[in-house]
Amino acid sequence: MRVVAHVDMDAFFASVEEKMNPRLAGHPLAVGGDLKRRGVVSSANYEARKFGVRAGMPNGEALRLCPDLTLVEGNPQKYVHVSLQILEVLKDFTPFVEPFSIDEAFLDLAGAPRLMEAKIGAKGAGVGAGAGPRAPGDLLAAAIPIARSIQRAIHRRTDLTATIGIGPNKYIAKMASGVEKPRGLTALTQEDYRRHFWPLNVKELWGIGEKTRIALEKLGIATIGQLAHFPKEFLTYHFGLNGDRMRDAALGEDDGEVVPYYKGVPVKSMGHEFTLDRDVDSRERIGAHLLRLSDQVGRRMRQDGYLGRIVSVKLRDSKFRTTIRQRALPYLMNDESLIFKTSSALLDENWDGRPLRLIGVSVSGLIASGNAEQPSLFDTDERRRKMIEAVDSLRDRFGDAALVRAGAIK
Amino acid sequence: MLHAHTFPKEQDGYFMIESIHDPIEVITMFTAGRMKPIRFRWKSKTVKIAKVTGDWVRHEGQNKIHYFALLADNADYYEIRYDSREMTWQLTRVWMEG
Repeated sequence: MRVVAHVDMDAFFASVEEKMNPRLAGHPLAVGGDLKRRGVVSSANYEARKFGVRAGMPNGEALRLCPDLTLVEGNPQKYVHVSLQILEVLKDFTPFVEPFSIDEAFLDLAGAPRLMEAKIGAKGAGVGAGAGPRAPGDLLAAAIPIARSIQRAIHRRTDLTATIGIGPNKYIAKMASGVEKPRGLTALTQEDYRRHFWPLNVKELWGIGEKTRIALEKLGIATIGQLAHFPKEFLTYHFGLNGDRMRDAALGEDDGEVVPYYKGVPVKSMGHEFTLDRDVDSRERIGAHLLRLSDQVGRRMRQDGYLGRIVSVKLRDSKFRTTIRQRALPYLMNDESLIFKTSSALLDENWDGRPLRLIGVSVSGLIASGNAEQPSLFDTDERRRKMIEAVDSLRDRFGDAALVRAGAIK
Repeated sequence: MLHAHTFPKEQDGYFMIESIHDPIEVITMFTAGRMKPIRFRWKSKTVKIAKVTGDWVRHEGQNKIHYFALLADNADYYEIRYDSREMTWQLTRVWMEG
């Protein structure tokens, strides 16, 4: 049996800001996007959450809910720096650490020495006289002191607090970390998981959004327990592969491995999005933003060594209605001109002229450049490849702002 | 000054964040392979640093920009940056009681 811990930093961005500027502590605080534009809240401390301030909420709405809110502009480099410090702490406990996001990680604790003792005990081979087979709960219980040590070590190194969930797999560990926050520590066996979550609404499941909740409700599925008992064939019929995944989630079944940081988690897509200063309905201005975003995505793909085939565009209008459309290309590429051309076509086919507040571009279906079996477009366009290499080389040396496409300046 | 945001915090005062890009002069200690700003001069005023509460690095091409979060001895909060190519210091953010 595996023992997986999910480490989730408490209100991470807001806590980093409080740590660096202690005068912010104890007051409602939110970290938002560019304060000169209409960004959204990316993290709120617990004082702000009491007023209903949540991540994903527009800055203006957060200030309406909590007029005393302090809104600080986010700084990704700052958070990445602290995130790497936390990764160093986690690596002291086990090499099997999978960074899941900037403020979350999964740990396979089976390699931690004290758990090994418990495992030896489970085989009846030497932890005390008469040690017999242990229940799954015993193994998870053995992980609790390790998790406490992890929480203390993170606090010592960074002055920040973390919540930890423990379970027999990644899904249960992730759900367990949501049971009690901040500074929580919850261990759930599969039976505990079912007892705790089955009476709750399906929206409590990680990965189920509002649209899926409504679709499930139409099938008469309201609770997680009902989802777990729903015939698999029906779910597959209605939701395809996601139907299987949802049922596994409800049952607390997950055979996904903890992929250690040194193996790297395969990247599935790369994208950038941008909230506009004000709603924009000018095709020319939207095109300029698409060009800039396409440029950023292509550059990042080349820097990280990826080629991709599926281009997506994301449009959010002033009423927060979001449209995502994608198109598969017949070849692999990481050229911003092709990303721009495809995203522009998608825009023209799917945009009815309504004012937009957010635009995004992404490329998926990624594979590492070195693993590409089919030729990329660059293999047939040497001149373009050399030009892009020259631009990349200048940006590598002088920074991304050194060269900007004229069309992106509108 | 590029922009300022004020947020009412208390009946008798408020906190103010200012994002600025003023050149500053900094006295720095190099210790255990790290830079530690001790005090800096901004607009003819000397600010004594009580604590470095954080530091991080941003890469601009091959250039490394070092950032420091600082608490002054009067409890005001500052963020400063050191451009390692230009060898210049700038004050980037100030947080003081108004």
